[in-house]
This record gives sequence, C-alpha cells and structure tokens, in this order.
Amino acid sequence: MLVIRATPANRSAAIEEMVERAQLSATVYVVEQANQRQLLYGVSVFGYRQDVDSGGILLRLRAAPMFVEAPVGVIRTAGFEIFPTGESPDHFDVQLIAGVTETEPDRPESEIRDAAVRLLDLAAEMRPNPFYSGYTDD
Amino acid sequence: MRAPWDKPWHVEKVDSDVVERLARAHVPNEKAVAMGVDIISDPHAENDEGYNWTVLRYARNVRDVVPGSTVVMGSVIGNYLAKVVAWDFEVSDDDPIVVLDLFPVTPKSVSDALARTTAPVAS
Repeated sequence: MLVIRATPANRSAAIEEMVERAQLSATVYVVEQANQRQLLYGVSVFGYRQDVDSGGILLRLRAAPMFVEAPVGVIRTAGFEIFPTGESPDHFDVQLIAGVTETEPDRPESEIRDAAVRLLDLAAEMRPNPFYSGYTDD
Repeated sequence: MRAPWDKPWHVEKVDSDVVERLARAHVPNEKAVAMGVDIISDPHAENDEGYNWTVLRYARNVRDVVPGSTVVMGSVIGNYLAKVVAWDFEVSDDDPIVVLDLFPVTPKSVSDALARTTAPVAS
C-alpha cells in the first residue's frame, strides 16, 4: 500500500503545514500504544493499493499543486506508526512523534519539524498533481 | 453525528448565546485573514465519521462558520468549499472542533454558476 499527501509547491511550506497540523492533532487526539494513552502527533494521509489508480485521491485534492507518496512499509521501517482512522477505509494518520503521554509537556516544535522532514525524505520527490491545472481552468 | 454519505443535509445547531460568547472572545486568525478564507484546515484531515475537521481559532469570523454555513476552507494546499456540520465541544468549551463537509466542487465553478444566474438569457 502507498500513502499520498498533497502539498504546496514549496517543500518548506509543506513541512511547516505538517508541523502545524501535527501540533493541532496532539491537542485533540490520543492513541492507545504500549498500554498508554499517547498524544497523536499525527499527519493525515490517504492510502491506496498499488494495483489501484490514485487518481480519485488526487482529484479530491485538486486545489493542491503537488503531492508526495511513499509505501507504508518504508514509513513503518523508518519507525513511524500509521493508524487507520474512523470510517473512511482510505484515511490514515502517520504518527510523527511516538511515546508522548497526556501528562508530559508538549514536544518542542523543532523536534516535530525534524520528524516531518524525516517523513518527507522517505517519500519520492514532490510531483505535480495531474488534476491541478483542471482546477484552475474550470 | 452521521457520516456525510448518510445524511448530506445534517447540521448540529449551536445555541446563539454560545456563538456570541465565542465571537466576543475570538481573535481573527491571521492566516485566514491573509488568505481571504473563512477558516484554515487541512483537506486531508478526517474525524472518525469521515468529516474534515479544524478548530474555531483558525476562523476569520466566528459568525461566518456556525453550523449550517457554507464556507471557503483554505490552506497552503488550496481552497475548498465546505459546509459547517457541527461544533464539537468534547475537547474544549472555548475552542471547539469545527466539523466540515467538503464539497466535491471548486469555488470557481460555483462562482461561475452563480454568475450565470444573473446573466441575461440568450434569445
């Protein structure tokens, strides 16, 4: 399985957006890990099987100029956990920082940014969203 | 709350006193103001029911994002049309989760369609 995240054209803007969303996620969501309730410093992604066309996901995100994708196995091997979320079978959260319980202080932004950079480095390079030009023209 | 595909007209109204309390305390979100959108969110984000979600502090104007409103949701990944389905106070009384149902149409396609409604009919 591969996961996709749409991005702006600028890599640093993509990283900052991931950091901000992971911080917000940690204020709202927790996950059960190792018999602990851990804050979910999560980044949302959409997943699809390699034998299925990813066009539906990219069409849904057609206001985004670029996207990145990476195999789930590569992400997990690098130490990131991936959680399925809720009712949507194709939606997942990648946990940027693991092991932070509710009683611990918030993680420094620099640590979250480092994790976001590591995660983005696992993906193939940013590619143009093929549906983006359609968005601007229609 | 119901999944969007179950009940597309579903909205969970919020008491007007609560809206006014939150509006008085609200500081317009700088990014939302700069981008000219109603609220900032990540188009990837989904809650347990499959709706998009963000929080009220990311809004430009509280009264524009009450449940039932049509809004422009923005981010560095572009702007999307959405309906506000609910405010969820489970985590905070002062900064509720804003639950959004993203529309599968572009803002420009809607503005074009609305513009046609005021155009003279061709004979």
